[in-house]
Parts: sequence; structure tokens; C-alpha cells
Amino acid sequence: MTPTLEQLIAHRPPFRFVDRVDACGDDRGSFLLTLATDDPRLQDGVLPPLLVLEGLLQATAAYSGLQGARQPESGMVVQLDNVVLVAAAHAGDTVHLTVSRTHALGPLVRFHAAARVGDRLLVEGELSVARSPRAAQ
Amino acid sequence: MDELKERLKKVIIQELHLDGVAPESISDSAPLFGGGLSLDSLDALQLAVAVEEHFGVRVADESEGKAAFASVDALASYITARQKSAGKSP
Repeated sequence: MTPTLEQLIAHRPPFRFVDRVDACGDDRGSFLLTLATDDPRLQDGVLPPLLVLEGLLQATAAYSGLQGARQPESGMVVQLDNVVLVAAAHAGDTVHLTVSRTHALGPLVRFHAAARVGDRLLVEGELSVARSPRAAQ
Repeated sequence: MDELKERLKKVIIQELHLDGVAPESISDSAPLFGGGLSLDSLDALQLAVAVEEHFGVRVADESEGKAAFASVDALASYITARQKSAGKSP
């Protein structure tokens, strides 16, 4: 049975910045963050880039959890590289959060993550995660 | 091979942000990990990324990485062998 976002991400609303799973493949996952005009996560009508980055971190957690569904695992982000905070998201936007696994060495996995609204890049960067297996729940 | 080792040392210093370390201070045969460079597992992942970006060689898994990252000598041999098997030159 596919785990729910509540099972994959520890954060609860309004501190969760991933609303839906769009697609999940072997090396890439896509997630959606939809911002209604009255969304409590908005600050003066925008979601600042730093919170969009938080969305990417949560999307990475969700993707890792979905990939480890057969053998559940937890993980911790241990390094961010080449992060660029380009723009905020706005009320009415649907933000596409994409996570691609690029490298793995032992328990460490490197992801490229990007947040876009249409073709407009908001935030991009490389995330390194230290995985650790955990007991199935 | 010597040219590759010199290039490798420069890549290691640049990609692992070893500010103040001179290429000539890294011995060809000294351990890269658990030695004087104070590298950790995150550096190993970064080095795997760098080896692919700079030399087009992907480190397949942890056991291969452990052998390849034993020293500059080992890494140069690993890259050369992988490039030969893929039909590339360094």
C-alpha cells in the first residue's frame, strides 16, 4: 500500500509545503504545492524562496520514503550545495517540486531538486541525504 | 598517469574546498580518507560526483568507492581502467 504524505513527511499543516504527489519514478519524483489566495502559508501574498526550499526538502523526504516503500527508511539532510533562491511563489500558483536522484554512495544520496511555476524557476539546488533503515510501521 | 594524478589532486582540492592545501602536499600513495586531509563520508560522495563530472567515470557503489578512493594512485588507476573499458582516453 502506498504511504500517504502524512506518513512520509513529519511536518503538519501549515508547516507542510508539499500538497500532492504528481509522479514518482525510479530516479525522479514530482510533487505539487498549490497556493490558494487565502492560503495560511503565504506571507503578504507570497511564499518566500526559503520556504519554497523547505518544500523541496520535504519533497525529497517524500520521494525517499516512496522509494523505500518496500523497506521503509528514514533520512536526514546533511548538506546543501549550489542552492539558488531565485523567486517567491505567489497566491494562485501551483509549484512543481521535482527531485532527481543523481548519485549514491553507501548511505549517502545526492539529489538535484528544483521548484518551478510553469517554466519559471523559483529555487534549485543539490541536497545530500544520509539514509538509515527503520523498522516497518 | 602523472598528469592525471596532478589533475586529480587539483580536482580534490577544488571540489572538497581544501583551502590552503597545495597539490604537491598530497602524496600519491597516502590514504585520502582517515589521513591528513581529514575527509569524511560527505567528502566521499562529493568526490564521486566530481570524478563523474571531471572524468566521465561513475563510481558504481560503496565497495568500488572504497577501493577507488584509497589514494590518488588508486583513483588514477580506477579512472584509467574505467575509461579504457569505456573506450575513452583520460
